[in-house]
Formats: sequence, structure tokens, C-alpha cells
Amino acid sequence: MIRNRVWIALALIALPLAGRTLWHYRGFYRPASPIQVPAYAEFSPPQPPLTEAAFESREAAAEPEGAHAGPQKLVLFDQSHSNRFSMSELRSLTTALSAQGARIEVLDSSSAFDELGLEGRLKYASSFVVVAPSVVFSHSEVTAVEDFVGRGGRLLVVLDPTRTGSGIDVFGFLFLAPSDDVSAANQLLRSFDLSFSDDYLYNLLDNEGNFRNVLLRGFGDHPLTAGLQTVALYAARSVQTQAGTLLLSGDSATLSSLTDAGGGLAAAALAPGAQTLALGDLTFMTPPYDAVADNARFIHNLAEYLLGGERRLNLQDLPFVFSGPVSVVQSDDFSLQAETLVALRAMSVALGPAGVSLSFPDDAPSDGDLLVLGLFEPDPELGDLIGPFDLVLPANAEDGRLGTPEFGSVNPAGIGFVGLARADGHTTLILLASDQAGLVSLLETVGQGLLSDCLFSESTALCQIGEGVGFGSSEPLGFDLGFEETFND
Amino acid sequence: MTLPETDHPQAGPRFWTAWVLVPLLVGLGLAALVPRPIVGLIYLQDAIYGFTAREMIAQINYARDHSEVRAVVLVLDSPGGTVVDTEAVYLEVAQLRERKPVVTMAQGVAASGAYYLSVGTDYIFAGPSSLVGNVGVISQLPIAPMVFEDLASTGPYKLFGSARDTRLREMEAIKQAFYSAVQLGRGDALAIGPERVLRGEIWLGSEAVRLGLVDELGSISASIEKAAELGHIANYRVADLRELAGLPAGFSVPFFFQTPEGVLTPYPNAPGFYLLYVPPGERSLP
Repeated sequence: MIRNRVWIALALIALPLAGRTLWHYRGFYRPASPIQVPAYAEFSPPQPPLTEAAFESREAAAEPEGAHAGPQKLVLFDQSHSNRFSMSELRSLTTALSAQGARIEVLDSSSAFDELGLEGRLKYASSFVVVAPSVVFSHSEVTAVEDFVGRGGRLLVVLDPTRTGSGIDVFGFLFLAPSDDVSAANQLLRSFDLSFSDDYLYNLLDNEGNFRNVLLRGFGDHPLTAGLQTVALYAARSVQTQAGTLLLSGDSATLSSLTDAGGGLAAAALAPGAQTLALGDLTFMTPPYDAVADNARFIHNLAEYLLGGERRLNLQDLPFVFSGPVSVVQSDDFSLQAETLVALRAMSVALGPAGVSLSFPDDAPSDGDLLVLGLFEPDPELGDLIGPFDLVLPANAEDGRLGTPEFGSVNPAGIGFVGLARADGHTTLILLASDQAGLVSLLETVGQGLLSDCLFSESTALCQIGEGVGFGSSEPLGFDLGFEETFND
Repeated sequence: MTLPETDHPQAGPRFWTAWVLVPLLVGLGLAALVPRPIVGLIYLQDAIYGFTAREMIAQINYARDHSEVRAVVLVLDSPGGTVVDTEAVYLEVAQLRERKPVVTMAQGVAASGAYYLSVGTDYIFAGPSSLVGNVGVISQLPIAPMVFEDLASTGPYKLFGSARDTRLREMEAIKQAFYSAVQLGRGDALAIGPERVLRGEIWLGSEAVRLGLVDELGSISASIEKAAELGHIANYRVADLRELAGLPAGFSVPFFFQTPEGVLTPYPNAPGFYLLYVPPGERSLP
């Protein structure tokens, strides 16, 4: 009996408790699965493929190479277009160039407007390097560069999407500016079938520490890619060409920021003829990235490429037609006078940037570059040098005029003759005039490269050098226009 | 229940009092001790940084330590914040989930660090036009090390923390952890791979559902109901955990940079690693 009463009491106690519990609670929470969090300790910063081989490659790139013994080639770097880089950033490239015997010259904004300017310097440069320009090239500059490339010079244009006008100001604001580097570069590259996109390449799946650092393993067939397996670029613009060669290409996961699409995108391309190279990244040349993957090898190859061109120097490159030390030879009837020495001194100074010096040997050397000074007079010593030009000197002509195969018969007064001959890798430049005053004037004209008053054929030119009979006189020169002539403006 | 009165002549008032009324009152009394379950709300309507993270963690701890809080809803409207504070809150949420379900309501913006928090919960709701995603890390790289005449230090990075390249690579490690959290949290529901997730895009809620970044479009009410369902509770009450935890309201410290002109920018005050969505187009040069 008591037991029943206890059970009843317990039931009465439990009833409201159970009722309320069931009113609110319908079960027990069980985590659906073990609560997992990232294994943070396993995520370490990715390290670059900086191997011993990479260092060896970098050192190899800086090693002097005897194979390039010969006249020093000059690589001209542009810094006259508000370029967003400093030469110190290109140390790995300039070191590789110097190791291969090259000279480096920088065209800054002041030198761009001196007597030589860009056009004058391209006369003696082997290659021209433009990095991250932010100011467009003038029409005349573009023409000069096109002429330069057309005559064997090599052009390297490097952009970098991190070198634009955009950035972050002191207050931390992002400020956005047009990517003027792309328009400046594309204007220069227009005639070379190369163009940059206003983008950057990225790869979210396979990269070098960051999505914008792309690893490129697709290589075009060219010595520039010799020995390369992987090149790491650190934010690179994509490059397009129709008929040229894509040099460094990414895989299908390498995408363009412009389209978020990929497949065959390239960060470097060669123009048809391989005289012009467009490269979408600068950072890979800067330490420590120059030692990542095969970057050092690529920089080495770049240096070889820049020095591998063969400039075809012609009279329009005056006075920079020499490739080594020059011996000055004069005819017997020509004696050095003060004015001549001054003109030669000026010529020597003018040739300085090209690394060419003048010497005055007693006898004409059998080899080496020559500067021959003479008058329109028969001279047995110079006969062999002048012979190839088939000149008819006034003394040998019935009408007393100067006969030239290219220009016909001309009145020699106030006229200077310029002849350029090449044999066995040596250059001979011949300057002739009717008298010493005219020769000095011609020397000055050639030395200063002031060739606007000259008519050119491929290897000869006639220049007005005085106030006498000449281009400016009313007396006809008697040119035979049966040749292809070029006015140099 | 009927009591056999005829068999129990002694069933008088004493009997009823002793064996019925008292037990019933005891039962009612004990039942009153059974707490009404609570779905706790934790609001984040600011960036995630030291102050807001401390407040969130205090509320999480309250929920964990109080049995009547049977489920929690994170109501997020945040562009994210610092890495360390986001990770701290994320790990606290993970601990809370060992005991109680946590549901996210992505209201407004649940970007970057805020989305990081949401993938650590059991279920994610978003508004149709909420902004969700922006998976990734941002940081301003330190300047290149240099020395100063009047400011001495004992190591090349003492003043700068790390090399620029190191900072960049550390960002990558943080990003990998973030993506791992997304993978673990979303599991098979995630319909896109790393090549899409890691682009750092921010999506509308409606698109985020299709991509598997969130579970369902809904409202705060729906998220509360879902939390209650996961917590197996009914007839619950909803409470703001800030109030329950006794946190002072309306106090915060500046996280975003304010210009001298008083303009509040979307950029943080101090350099560092951030899981933060910075709306673009704040200023452009003419």
C-alpha cells in the first residue's frame, strides 16, 4: 500500500517535470560529424624553387665569356620616358651584359634632348632596352627605333603590371590611374607585330608563392629559351603576336586578369625576324627573384640576345660607322692644319660614346678601321682605297667635274664625297673634297652627323660643305637621277 | 488517476495533501527549474578586430557555459577583419559546436573573415542580395629594410617585421588555411573548386547558394528556426547573447582609417594581415 502511494507521489512529481521538458526539448544535440578545423600547423609559407642549381646558373650568367671578344657592343637603356624603374634593379641583366663584353649607356631625360638624342645614340647602339615607360614615344622616336631595328639593331621592351601609375597614397587610399605603360609600349611595338595587354597573368593552382607569380613552362623555339625548364615571373603582362614567336607561355590554368580565361597566354614574344622582344615582367630580373627556377639562365640568354644582333651600319649612321679603333690616313697633298686638327678632335670626341678612338699612324695599317682624308686629286697611295668607288676625279675628267657612278657628274666645288667600304670586318670611311677647307668642313659635317645636306646612296654620299657651287647654288649639279637616293632629314 | 476511496477510509485531506498535492507541487516546482531553451543571437555588424572579437568570444563562452542556450545564430554583416581575430573567433565557434549547433545568417555582407566564420558553423543562410565570399587575404607589404641614423634596431627586420617576399608567402599560408576551412565547412556542398573559390570573388547570396557557398536563402527567423531544429528544442525564446552576457552596448573602438577630414575609409588603421573585403573604386586619379 505504501509502495503504491510512493509510486503515485513520484509520478506526480515527474509528470510536470516531464511535461515541461518535453515541451521544450525534443532530443539531444549531437554534432553531425567531428568538428574539424584546418590543420594550421601544416600550412607553411611556400618557398621558391631556389636551388643550388639556380645559384650556379646565376653565377654562370655573370661569368665573362671569351666568345664575345671583339668590338664592344653597346646596349642603350631608355630612361627618358618617365620609366618606372631604376638601373640598379636591372643589375643582374647589366652584369650579364658586361660579363659578355657589352657597354651600358643610359638615355635619361636630359640626354634625350642633347645633340645626339635617341636617334643619334641608336646609330652606335647594338640594342635598345625600354623598361616600363609611362610617356609615349614621339613619331620621330618611333621612326628612329624602327629604322634601328630594320638595320639589325635589337629592341627589348619590358613592362611590368606593378609599374603603373596606380598605387596607394599616404592615407592608404587606392588610387587608380590609366596603365600608360601599355599604350607607350604598344605604340613603339606597333610595326613589329607585338603588343601588350593591359592585364596581368595569374594562376591560382600552380604558382610561385602568390597567384600573380606565374611559373611558365611553355617555351618557343629560340636560343632565348635554351636550357630553360621553368621561368618564374612576378606579375607579368601578357604579350600577343600574330606571326612572331611566343617565347614563354603558361598552361591552361594561367589566366589573364582581363578575361579570367587562359590557354596559351604568353608573357614574352619575339617579333617576326626575332629582332624585337616584348617581355611582360621586370621583377624576375631583380634579386632575389633572379635566382628562382631558371630565371638566371633566362637573364643570361637575354644578355646574349641583346648582344647577338648584327648592326648593318651605313652612311646614315655617321659618324658611328666604325666598329673598332680608327687609323686616320691622309693623302700626300693634304697636310694637317690647325682647323683640321680641331675637326679631327671634334670627330674623336663625337666617336667617344661609341667607344671608338682615333690614331694617326705614319703608314696606313693593313687591317683595322680607316678614316681616309683626301682631296679630289690623284694620289697613288690612296688609289687602292678609292678605287672601289669608281670615281672619276676632276683632274682626269675632260669637263673638270667629279664623276660618280651613283650620282653622275657633279661640279666638285662646295661638294664633299663620302664613301664607306667594308671588307673582312673592317670599315673604311673616305672623305674627299676639292680643297683643305672643304675637307675640314666635310669632316665637321660628318663628325657632327649633320647630314641633312647630303644625298645618299648605299655606300656613298655627296654633301654640301660650303657656300660655293653646291646644292644651294643655282648651278646644276648634274645629278643623274638613275639611282635610288635617300635624303636624310 | 483514481484513488480507491472505499478501500482507504483514511483518505482524507491529509492523504490528499501528503500524497497528491505535495508531490504535484514538488513536480511543478522542479519543472519550473527546467529552463526554457534559448536560441542565442550573436550580432557582428562591424569588422572583426580585437574589440569585436573579444565581444563575440565572450558571447560564445556564455552560450557554451549556459545550458539553457541550446543553439546559437551568428548574424553577420561584416567585411571581415584581421586574420588573428577571425581565427580566434572561428576556433571558439568550433568549440561551441561540440556542444551546441551554430547557424549563420549572412545578412548584408559576410565577406572574407566573416565568411571564414560562417563556414565554421552548421548551416549558412544568406539574403538573396547579401554579399558572400571574397575568400582570400590582403596585406600591405613592408618597405624594403633600411637603416636610419637616429633610429636604431638590433636586426634588419626589427623595424619592418619581415621581408616583403616573406610577407607575401605568409599570406599564401594564411590563404591555404582559409581555403581548408571552406573545404571542411562546406564539404560536398561546395560546387566549385579552388580555381574559382580562391579568385576572391564576392557573390550575391542567390549565386552563393548555387555555388554551394551557403546552404539556403532565408531570413533571421528562418535561421533561428533552423538553429532550434538542430538543437532539438521547441517553444524556445530568442535572446541577444550580448545582453545575456552583460556586455555594454554601443561601444567600439575605431578600426577603419579616418581621414583628417573625418571621412571614414574602408581601409584598416594599421598594417597587417587581413581577411577583409575592401570595396573598390574609392578614389581615382583624374
